[in-house]
Amino acid sequence: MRTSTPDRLTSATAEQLLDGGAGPAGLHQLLAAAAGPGTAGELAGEAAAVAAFVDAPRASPLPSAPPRRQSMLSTALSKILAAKAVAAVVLLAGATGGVALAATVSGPPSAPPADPPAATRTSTPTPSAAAEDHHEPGARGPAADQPDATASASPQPSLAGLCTAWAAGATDNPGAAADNPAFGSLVKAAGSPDKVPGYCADLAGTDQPAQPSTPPGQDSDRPHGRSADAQDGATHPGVPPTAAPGNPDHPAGPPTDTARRGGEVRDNGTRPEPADQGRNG
Amino acid sequence: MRAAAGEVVPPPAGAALDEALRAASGGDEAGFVALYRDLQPRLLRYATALVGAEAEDVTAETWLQVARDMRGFQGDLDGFRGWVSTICRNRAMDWARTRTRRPADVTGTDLLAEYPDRDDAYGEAVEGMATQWAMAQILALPRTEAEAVLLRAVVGLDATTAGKVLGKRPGTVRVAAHRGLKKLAQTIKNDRWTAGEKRG
Repeated sequence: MRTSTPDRLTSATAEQLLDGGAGPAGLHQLLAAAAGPGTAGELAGEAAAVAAFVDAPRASPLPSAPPRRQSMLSTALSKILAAKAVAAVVLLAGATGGVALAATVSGPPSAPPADPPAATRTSTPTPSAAAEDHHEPGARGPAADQPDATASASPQPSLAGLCTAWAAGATDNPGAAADNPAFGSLVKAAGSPDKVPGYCADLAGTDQPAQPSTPPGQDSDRPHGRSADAQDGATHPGVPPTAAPGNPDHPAGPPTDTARRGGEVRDNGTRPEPADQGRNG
Repeated sequence: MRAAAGEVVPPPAGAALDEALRAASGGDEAGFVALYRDLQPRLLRYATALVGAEAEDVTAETWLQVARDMRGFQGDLDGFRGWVSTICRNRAMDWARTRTRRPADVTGTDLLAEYPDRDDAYGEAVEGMATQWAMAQILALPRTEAEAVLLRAVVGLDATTAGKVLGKRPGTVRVAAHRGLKKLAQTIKNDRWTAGEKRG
């Protein structure tokens, strides 16, 4: 449906309408109605808004106004005191002379300013005292204990944890564990990467002497590394090469060969093989 | 300032509101109440165009901020209305951002004056249109046009102040408001045609 609009809305008329002025009757009435007076429902938030207004102004002027009055009072008092002091000085000057004047002049003017410094003196000690108070529960209590704890207790658990991690890494791929910077502190504590296992064994021994954990038990089972390797090589022909990575290819070669050779007689031939190996090597 | 708009005039007149603004900025409670009663209904209608049914909460937040910062306000009534409208718009944008709700929800006009249905309201439109019907027509406009019309004709800002509230140039606001008015004029005309005997 298209209807022609005989009364075209000029921009001047539009502006007039928007300002609440005259214009086409329908539009003017519509805008006037839209701007009509509010209902009770629309003004429901009045109490809250007024309460906020009543609360707000009292909050802001209070901090600003009273200090000014106090400062005015204090300055007036100091002026009066200074005036009295000057009067006393003048009286004294007449009687005693210049020396007394100089002495008293230097005295009273410095006395009123002496109040603010005294205030700052008393105030600065209290912050420092408060700071000390703040520190005391923190520093002297747990923090004072903590240095001892960190100095004595904490390195050991971390090194012990590094030892277990080292042991786990050493079985998987020993070279990576030695290169890993995460083990730097452990290596430093042990002296060198080679000494790490021994250091860890000592650490485990001093830390947990009562605990018969499996690694010490294994150590006790195989007091001699070579024979332990040989035993392992006897039971599992494929393992020795990884267990002894630093050794030349000799141990790696023969066991696999012996495994192939003695494949059928494995149960019987496991014992003699290390003996052969020992003879060959 | 809108005293020339003969038919429907808000209860507090311009001069009284100027005085109320002066008093309220000095901390006077009665002055603040007068400003609130004058501006809040129209602010609420403007906020309805922004956040729909959340307009009441938005204007409540707006007035809390106005009440807090009112003391020492420098400026005239136009400046005050512009300031409050800016706060209201910012709060509305915050709400829209958090709620991600579509604005211009017509159900937000629930608080407006109760008037008969739309068709009956049209019957009385010749003498004086219902606020609710009028607001429904304005809220049906595109957002920018509705905002411009409401800020100019309902809140009572001039083009410059409305531009500041909207963050646009006065000319842009003027164009949007004029487009809105033309659409409203068309709506009224169509409504008149459809309400009477349907032609062509």
